Amino acid sequence: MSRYLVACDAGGTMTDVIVVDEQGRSVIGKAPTTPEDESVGYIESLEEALRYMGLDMEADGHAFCGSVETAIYTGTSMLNALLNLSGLRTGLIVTRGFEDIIVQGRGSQSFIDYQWSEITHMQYRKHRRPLVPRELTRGVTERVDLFGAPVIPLYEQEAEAAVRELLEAGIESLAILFLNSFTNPSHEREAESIARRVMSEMDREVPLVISSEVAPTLREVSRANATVIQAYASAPAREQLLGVEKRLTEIGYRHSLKTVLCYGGVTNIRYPRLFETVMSGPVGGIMGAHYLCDVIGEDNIVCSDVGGTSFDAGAITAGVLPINREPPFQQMYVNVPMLDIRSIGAGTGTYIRLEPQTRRIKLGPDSAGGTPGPVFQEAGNETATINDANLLLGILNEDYYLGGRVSVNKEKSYQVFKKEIADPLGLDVYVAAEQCVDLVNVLMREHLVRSLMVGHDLRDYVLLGYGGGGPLHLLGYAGDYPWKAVCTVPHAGAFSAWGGACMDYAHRRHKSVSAMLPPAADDAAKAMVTRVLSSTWRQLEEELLEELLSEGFEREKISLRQIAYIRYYGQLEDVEVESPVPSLDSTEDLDALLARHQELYTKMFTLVARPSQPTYHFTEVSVIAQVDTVKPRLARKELEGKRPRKQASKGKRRVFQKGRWQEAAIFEMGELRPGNAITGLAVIEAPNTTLFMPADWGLRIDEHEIYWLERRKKR
Amino acid sequence: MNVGSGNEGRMLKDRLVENDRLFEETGCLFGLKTLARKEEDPGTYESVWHILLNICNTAWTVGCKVSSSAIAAEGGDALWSLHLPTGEAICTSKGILSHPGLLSMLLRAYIEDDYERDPGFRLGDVFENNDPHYGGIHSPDFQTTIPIFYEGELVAWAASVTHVMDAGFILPGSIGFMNPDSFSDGVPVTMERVGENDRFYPWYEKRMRVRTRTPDWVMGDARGRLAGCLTIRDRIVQLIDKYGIDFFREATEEYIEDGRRYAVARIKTQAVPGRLRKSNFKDLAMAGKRVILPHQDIDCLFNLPLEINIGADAKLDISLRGASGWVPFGQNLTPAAIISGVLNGYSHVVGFDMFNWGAVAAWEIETPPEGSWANPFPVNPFASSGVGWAPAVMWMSSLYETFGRVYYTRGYVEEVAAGAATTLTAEFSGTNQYGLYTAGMTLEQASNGSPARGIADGENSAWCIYTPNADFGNAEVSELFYPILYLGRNIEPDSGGYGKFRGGLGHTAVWMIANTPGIEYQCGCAGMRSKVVGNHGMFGAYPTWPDRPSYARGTNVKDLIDARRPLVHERGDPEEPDLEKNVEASVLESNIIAPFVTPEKLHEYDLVVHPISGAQAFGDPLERDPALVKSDLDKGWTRSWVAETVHGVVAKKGDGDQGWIVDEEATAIKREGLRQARIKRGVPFRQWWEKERKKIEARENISPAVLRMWRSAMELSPEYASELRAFWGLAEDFSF
Repeated sequence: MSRYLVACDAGGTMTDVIVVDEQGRSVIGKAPTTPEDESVGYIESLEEALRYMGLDMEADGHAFCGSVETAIYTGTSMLNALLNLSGLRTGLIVTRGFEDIIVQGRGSQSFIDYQWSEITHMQYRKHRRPLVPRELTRGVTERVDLFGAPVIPLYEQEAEAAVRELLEAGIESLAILFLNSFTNPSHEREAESIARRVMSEMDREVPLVISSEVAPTLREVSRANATVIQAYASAPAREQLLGVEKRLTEIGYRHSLKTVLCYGGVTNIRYPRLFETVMSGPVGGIMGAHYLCDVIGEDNIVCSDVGGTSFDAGAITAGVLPINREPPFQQMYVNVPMLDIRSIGAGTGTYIRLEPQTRRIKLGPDSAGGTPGPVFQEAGNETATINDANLLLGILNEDYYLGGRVSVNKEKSYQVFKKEIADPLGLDVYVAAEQCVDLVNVLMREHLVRSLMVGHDLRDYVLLGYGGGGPLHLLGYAGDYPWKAVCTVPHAGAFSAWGGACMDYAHRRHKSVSAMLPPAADDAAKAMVTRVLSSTWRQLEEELLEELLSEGFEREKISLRQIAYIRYYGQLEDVEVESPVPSLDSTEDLDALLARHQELYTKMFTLVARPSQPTYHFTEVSVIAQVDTVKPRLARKELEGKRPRKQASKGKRRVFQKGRWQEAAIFEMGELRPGNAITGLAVIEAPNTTLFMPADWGLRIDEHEIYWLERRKKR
Repeated sequence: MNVGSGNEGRMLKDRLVENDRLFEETGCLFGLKTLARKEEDPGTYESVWHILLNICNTAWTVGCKVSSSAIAAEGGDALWSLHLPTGEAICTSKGILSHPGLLSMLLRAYIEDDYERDPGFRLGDVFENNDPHYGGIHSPDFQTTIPIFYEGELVAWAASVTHVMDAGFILPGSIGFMNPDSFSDGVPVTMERVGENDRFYPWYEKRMRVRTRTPDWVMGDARGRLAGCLTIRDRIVQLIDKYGIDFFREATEEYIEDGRRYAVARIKTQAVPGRLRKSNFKDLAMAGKRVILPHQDIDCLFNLPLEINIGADAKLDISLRGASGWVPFGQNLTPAAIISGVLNGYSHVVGFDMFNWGAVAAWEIETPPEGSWANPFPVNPFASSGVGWAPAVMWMSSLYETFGRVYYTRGYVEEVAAGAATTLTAEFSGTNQYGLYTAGMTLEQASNGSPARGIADGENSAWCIYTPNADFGNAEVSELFYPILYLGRNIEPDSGGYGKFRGGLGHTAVWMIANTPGIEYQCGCAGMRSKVVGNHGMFGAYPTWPDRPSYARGTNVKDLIDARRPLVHERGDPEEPDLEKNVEASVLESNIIAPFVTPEKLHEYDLVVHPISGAQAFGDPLERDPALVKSDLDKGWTRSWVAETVHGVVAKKGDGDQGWIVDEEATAIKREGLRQARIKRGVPFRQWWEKERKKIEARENISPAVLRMWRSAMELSPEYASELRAFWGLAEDFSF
């Protein structure tokens, strides 16, 4: 039997399993997610995948699982614990005077993900429900200053009393956070030691987390959130993961289960900082795109994912994954390095309404999503959505929606659209529908171009579209911007799950530092900076190597990358700069690092933004340790002719475009082959997605089954 | 020179005249009775609006990342906007929404002053202003504008404002409440061309380097403003390439007229016609404190009256008739800034969408009385606007409450917002922990509680009247800038007033001075009150308390630390503050009347207790759900004596994690008792009026500050004086 990789992505509703063999062939199985015991959903979706492979779980499951080289699982248990407040009863010990740190957060947390009109509307302000209630927080007198000097020693008796009180209050886990502990963790360690002694005395052991081990970086609110998430949700999540692993082992799997890190990469489910897996849902798509970089020979890719409710995007630049070190997450800022994926509320289920006072078209930001879905699904929604417009325009096939599994009432969409949108605007229904689709495409395009691509030249980037609605809107939001190329993949709806199978084994550590380099610094000053950076890199490298070696990896398989975060003194934002050399051994090495910073900074913020006499401030460093793993191979296939096979053609359908009805060629995606070429106006249908090609676009399918979309030259 | 940079070779000045005439004649901006572009193609109209918004917000991202100032980047005190050639704001980025109005008026001033002829408007020019006499608010707010040309024609302006850390005032920092006159208002940039070819002139940086105390931050902000403006310019040109100059020209005017229509429609659908008034006061008590000039050794009280008349056509007439006279401090404002301030308040309580200059055309603001704090220059051209916002911020709080009353009347209870919180700033200046000179503001004041809603409590630490980007950032970040250690930053109990629904709570910062040979603490007024209560709360609520910080110099804190004794982490019970209880010091000032500058430098182990207020409450405190009182008791956000004496909730602390237990029966009895006591205490209005009238006639027990306020208010607004006299039945020649 062949060797396999099995990647499983448990979403809020459905669990997807993708099985990939050594040739890169894949099948996908789906089953409802089972939050109480996630192993059930995993096994059921695996069963379906095996059925597509012609295997029976009962008869062949053990042999199959025995040949699985890597099993990856992206669960929802940690996310669900935060959403449902079902994590451990957690106590928090903080620097005295900061007992409200979690309930109070910071103002900007109360409007994360709001639109501007909602930000100005003060009645909408809302902090999230805290993971640790105020009643389970205790303050302890201590202070460390920004240089790491312990100005006020830890008041041990207060620490001991705090631990006792919290244990008596029935906490199930304990988090400790002191200010500036990332510069000097001694007070946190002292408090940890006291807590362990008290637990022992009281015979009550609970998981204990200190912030300087979890996320030793600046900004106490975000560090507190990260630390609390680890204390609150990691133990139950790990239990679920171990349960899944146990079940897989029972049916023949012979290795440890892996899970997905927020910053892209897989790790063993016994990984200590499990909170770094808290948001792995959108990771798959970016990592799939990252993997495609090598396949298609491009290292700048803009990844765009259109779902039912949101449009998610991230940019890979020079092969480097986009990282946000303090991302917003669940109405909190967290010191967790996460893939920088920016989202807006625009998708195929986005509601279309008219603003009552000025009759302006308003899209979302809320949506009907998959449930209750567009009006035509007749599942209770009476408000028009983008997909109602797509149906009215003839782009979606009323007889083949989700492969024909869902019945469609097009007349209902028409009536709702006419009454609620077209008539009040004084427009023909189809004209109004086209304008709404154009508008959502503009919102998506603007999100990419303005929000994501500040300081980057689109001509250097390939735009990749995926997600169930990706191919439907891709060319709309690609627009006439000068992308280097535009592409999508077949089965775009399952691309994120596929991407989950494409990750390397990776660990990442960050640490705040503070080193300054004044204008015209001499060699001695430069040497001091290089010492700070190099010694911190060495420290992080040692920590990472220890983790990976203990997991059984050989040293020579582990590669290390060093990163510095640099700003001009006084700024609050820095620029991520990968060191051109692994170790700064000379002032020339430091100059090379600064030259790289200047190059990036000028590109991002214009030349005028650069100070004439810069003082550099080095604020943070990080190291990425990576081990290459077996990944699905995108098999190179024989190219067939440009003309698709006969069975690929599904005839013609009228599509409303540019204000008139036009004949579009219809194709079945599953019947298209590498080498085929199609010109617009065309619709290419698959059960889980639809690729729409306007008249001025052409399609070419390459040997890896990447769909390249090119604007046709005007005659 | 590029004479005739306006449309079709016309001078922009001529277009201004034409625009005014068209509005006068048609009631529609630019004479746009119909919005043709919108009606023909609402999809493209909407698409381009979103593109313009995105362009401005991209500029915000670029500008704030470049800017060196914590105020701009972490506090959000910045803005980028796009304007018509004649100045009207088309759309703006996020940020402080009081600026687009002023930028519009500044651009109009350039045109009216014939800058189009001399020095001319050319591609690459950089214009700047921070002068309140000519369209600024106060000098820390630098306004940068650049023209945008398309095929040789000036088609728009990109503009930006940031609030710098130090404006070169007579005292360090950017909250110049102490400035005695405009000569102490710092580095002036008066409607100047400060650069060309997309660069600042060399003299500009030289001026900032010697005329401000933190030139690196000031220049960082300047570069941020310009980088953001250039971003707007480049992308507007791309947009015009795509959609055509005709569409751009016509649609941008339509957006502004649409903004006006939106403003009118919001009032029509949510308000009722009629006359609304709100009385409001603010103090600035400086008698006996460190001041700059001897004549500043006085207490001041501001009259901040608001009157709104809503017409049947939903047009608002807004008046400050009765505003008291200018003050010899940096607390005077200009009529232009009042207009812009209303635009800011409007965006919070009336209109949340299509925000631009259009809303300004939906109201008329009567020119404030000449010589008042809201219009000082006709009488005293040298009045200081060091922190001109201060009285306006308090005045805007009245706008919240006034609209709240109207919304309640119409049934939009959920839209009611009781009055806003105040703005007490903290600035430090001196040698920092790196041995460098520093001067600047912490971000504490940028995140108060939000006002009580008509259906719920306000939100704690989540709103700021001067910016919806409310955020106080991280303590660890502030400690990078100033030689302080935070000993506390917790929510301040009972700081959100008392009502059926309380305002969102504020917080109290406690700082210990560290790693410095000495530093000054300025407890500044950017819109605070320390002797009179901040607003009053709505519909029977009790107001929140005035702003009262504390500090201690020459402390025994080091000894306390060595002995592991309790320190100070919060304000504590107002009757027995922790500072007084726990610390001995050579100077210990507790619950001081703000604002003030410490007379001597603070040194290591000295302490500052700096409270940030919550917002106002809504409804009778006796109607507050006891469960909400219990919840606040459990969190330590109210005190048991407040629960009992103010809310009439009798509760006792339970065992273990039970929290507080409300005695429902005792609560009912207590509440009834409090109601009866109110009835007993109450007197008929006529009786109260007669008693007060006698006091007024006798000018009995009225402090000089109060007398000065009423005297100037009545002198500057005779009509208001007549009404006041008529209400109190005073003689026609009565004055204070």
